Amino acid sequence: MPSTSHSNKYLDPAVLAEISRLDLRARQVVEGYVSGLHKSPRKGPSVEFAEHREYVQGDDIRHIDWKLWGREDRWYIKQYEEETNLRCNLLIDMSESMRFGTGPLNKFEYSATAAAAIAFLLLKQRDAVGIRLFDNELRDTVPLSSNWHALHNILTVVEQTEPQKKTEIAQTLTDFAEHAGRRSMVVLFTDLFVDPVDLEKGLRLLRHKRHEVLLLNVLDETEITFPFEENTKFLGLEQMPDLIAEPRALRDGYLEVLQEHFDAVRRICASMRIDYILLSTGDRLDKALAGFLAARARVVRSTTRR
Amino acid sequence: MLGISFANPFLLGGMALASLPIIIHLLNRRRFKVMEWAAMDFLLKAAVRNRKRVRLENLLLLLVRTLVVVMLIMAVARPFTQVDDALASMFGSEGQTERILLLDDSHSMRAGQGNRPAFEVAKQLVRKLILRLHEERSNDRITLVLASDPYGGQSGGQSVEAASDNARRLAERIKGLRASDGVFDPEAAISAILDRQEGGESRLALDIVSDFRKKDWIDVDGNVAGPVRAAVSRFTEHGEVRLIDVGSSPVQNMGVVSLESRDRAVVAGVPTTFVARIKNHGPEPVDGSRIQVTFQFGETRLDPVRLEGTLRPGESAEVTQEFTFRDRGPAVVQARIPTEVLPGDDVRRLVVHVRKSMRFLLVDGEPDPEHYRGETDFLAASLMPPGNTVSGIDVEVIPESAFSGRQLETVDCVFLMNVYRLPDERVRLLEKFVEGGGGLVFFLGDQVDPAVYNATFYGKGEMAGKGLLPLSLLEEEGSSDDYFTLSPPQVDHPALRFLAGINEIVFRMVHVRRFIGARLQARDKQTRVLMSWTDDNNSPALAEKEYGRGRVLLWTTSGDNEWTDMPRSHIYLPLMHELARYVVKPDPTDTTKLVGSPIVLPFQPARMQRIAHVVPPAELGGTPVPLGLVPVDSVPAERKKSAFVFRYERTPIAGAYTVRLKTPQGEDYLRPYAYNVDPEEGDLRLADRKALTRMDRVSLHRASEESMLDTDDSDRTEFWRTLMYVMIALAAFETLLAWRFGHHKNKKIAAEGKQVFVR
Repeated sequence: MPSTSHSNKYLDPAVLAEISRLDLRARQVVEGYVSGLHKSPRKGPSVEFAEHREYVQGDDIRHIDWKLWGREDRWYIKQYEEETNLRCNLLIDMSESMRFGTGPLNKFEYSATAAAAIAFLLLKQRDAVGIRLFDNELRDTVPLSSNWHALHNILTVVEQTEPQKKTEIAQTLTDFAEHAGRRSMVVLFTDLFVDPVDLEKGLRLLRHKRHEVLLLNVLDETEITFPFEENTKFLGLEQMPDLIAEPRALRDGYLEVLQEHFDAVRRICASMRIDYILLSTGDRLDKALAGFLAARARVVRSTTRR
Repeated sequence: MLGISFANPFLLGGMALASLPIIIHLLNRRRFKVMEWAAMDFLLKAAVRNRKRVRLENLLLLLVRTLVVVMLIMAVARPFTQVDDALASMFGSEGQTERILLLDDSHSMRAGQGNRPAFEVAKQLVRKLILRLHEERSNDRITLVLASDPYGGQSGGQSVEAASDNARRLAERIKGLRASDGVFDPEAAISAILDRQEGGESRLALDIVSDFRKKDWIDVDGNVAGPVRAAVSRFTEHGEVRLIDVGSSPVQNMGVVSLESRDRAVVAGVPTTFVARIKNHGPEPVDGSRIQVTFQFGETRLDPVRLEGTLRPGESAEVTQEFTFRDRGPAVVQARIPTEVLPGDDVRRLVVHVRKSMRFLLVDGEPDPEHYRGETDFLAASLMPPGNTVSGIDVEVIPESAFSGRQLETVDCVFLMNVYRLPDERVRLLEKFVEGGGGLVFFLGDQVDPAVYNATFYGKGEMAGKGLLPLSLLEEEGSSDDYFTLSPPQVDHPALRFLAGINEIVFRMVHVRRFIGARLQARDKQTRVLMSWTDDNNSPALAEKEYGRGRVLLWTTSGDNEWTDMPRSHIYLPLMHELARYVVKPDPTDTTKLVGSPIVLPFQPARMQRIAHVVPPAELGGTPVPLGLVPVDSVPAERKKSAFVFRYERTPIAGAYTVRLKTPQGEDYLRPYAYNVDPEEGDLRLADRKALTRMDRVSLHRASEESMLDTDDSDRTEFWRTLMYVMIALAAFETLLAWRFGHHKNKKIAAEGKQVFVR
């Protein structure tokens, strides 16, 4: 694992420590090679033996190295290059609204930290990970790679990013889907301050292209609870108008509107078999991410068993 | 008209503070913190959704806050209303007040300090009170009651609305009021007021405007007299009582407190002595020689007579004047002193009925045609001496046998001289005669049976001592061989006064050989022994008894010279005359009265026609007023001489009131009545003010206090308490609203929606 001189900001040791014992598995069939983690549509052995790995329940027994078993009296799986290669694209929203935050990390920073952690996890799994930043169009990119240098590149890119523009998620996801190539896992980090119709449009294309999507909806804690009391002039981001209001008078209505939005998003995700999690910048990322990954792992295993 | 006024109107300027919540609201809108907000889309949608609700909430809060300020300002400005019972009762008001102004118009109110009588001060005050209520458009009703006529009411016996023109007219009429010559009876006045208000539902308030003299209010113990206190206490169950004091410090005042004739009968041609009593009511002693008493008999005024000696405060002295009326008939006698303070108590009047003569009936129990042998000869000769001497006495002598059937209406005195016995019917007649004022004199003798006399005239058993005879008779005493004389008598008796200074030998010259012993009952207070014999027992010689309005004398010896030589003694003639004048039927006393008492004249069809008039004094107009004829039953205090009486009530002024009557034959004849001021009305000592204020719910105000003119605030309906309660309720409501509007459910996004995993 290469040195990560950029890792102090976005590689949170606590997060890494929490999730390192976990794995991120693809739910569906993805292109690439499947070892014990990811299924591959291709049959047969891989072209190149990579290493042995201890057998775990669920692994394909056709890949058990019986010779080694004879020697060691333990089961080992042969891992080939291709079968370990999950392609995972991390899409991070870098629109102006992601700049908002009332805690130590704003939403973009929180998302970037989560993305870095997931990238770390994937690279540890020898999966390929890349990153695409977007606002009203796709911006900076780090191509898919299973090399640890990818992490460095990811971290460099996110550090240099300054969220400032408006989100155009439909167009962005459409562009990505059309240029993404082989199907992959797409992890989307966004505050989802978009029209659900546009979101659905973009997600539908991704799913049409057979990408597996994980949607991480990152919001600031205040955006979820709206705890304000005093008269406030709210300055709108992403070219939204300002508003002077008495927060107490609007609180219930705001939360009601927010709830309706979340319900719509969840319906969209459920209809497209997209995993969704609402993350609050007020939550501890290590716990939140670990909880999400563990829960997802349970679901994936149960699905795989069937 | 709503009629809402404010006790502190200048505080209403604070209404400008009602704009404070609005100003604060507007200022708050300009004060805000600034922050970036990413989820503006949601916020804008929420604002659109809640715009109306938020606006309404803000308006409601603003309204409530403004109302709180308005309520507070109005409460401190103390609004009140005096109109509209419905509105007043809504705020728990006491409603209309019946305000009774009891004005003391008694004679003492004519006194004052300087040239301002208390009554004028009182009138002015009452007018101010009425006009104040009128100007304030008070909801009160006013009744003006004069102490001299508590049942009448100056305002026609009805109350007037304070806000109406009738109140103004009432105030105007007060100017013409004059003080009466009567007394102030607080108990009677307040009781009369309560009787008139019985059944009324208004709250009552009583203002008594008076000089509050001691004689009217205070008893001998220095406290408010029991009946007065009780009457005030009954009134305070309905409302408060204010005593408005217009009294001034007592000043030096003398008064003629009595005028009477020494003789029970005034006879034309016979000198009569009149006695006037003058009293010093003032706080300082007075030199009597400064006081001139002028007597007037009819139209004849005599030279003044001066008092003798010094009169200390509260002391009185007599002055006498002898006068001989020439003509018979009613006449008015006056005794007057110079007016100092009160004109009414400086003169006293007396109606006398001058008779042609006193008519004596002598009943001879043992007639004898020989001169001076009969029982009555000596007496008749002494009472009506022959010749030109005018004794003023007409004597009629009849034998005992002629007494039966003899009517006594024209007789002033009956002498029973050695009469054996009389039928019961005669005895009853005599009792009625004496009870009505007639005189009766017993002379005893040898025909008198003590047992019969005791049974007939003294009374038996339980009636013993209740008969006409002053003493119970015992046995005949004495003998022809010896004699007794008269003991010198007590000369303080009116009939024996003339014996004062007489040498005792005169009494020793009266010899009695026989007499009938007699005994005085110790418990009999109506009887006393005037003269005694010099026997061992000091047996009574002459005894007197008061019987009804009449008097009875008993000589225990004979009237002739058979038992005694008294008829030949020097004192016999003057003694008989004095005793006759003492015992004679008196003049009618119902023609001399106190102011305020009614004229009541029994109607006698045989003597008068049914139509009569009364001519009041000149101060009351002097115009003849018809007299009403009322049945006796309606006059419970009157003795039933006849079935009807003439009655006249209105006698507020002292002076002569003359009743004009006609005989059945149409001849006019007059019956004068003399009305005097109560002699104690001249006592101007003030009641102890502390004693007055010790009565519950009674306040005392000096007439000079401006606050006395303030009408009772409780007759206003003040709202400040209600407004304060409303304000507090509104403040609590505002707090509740603010919490309710600002309360957020603190809901978070439902936990179960946070993660979605595809199964």
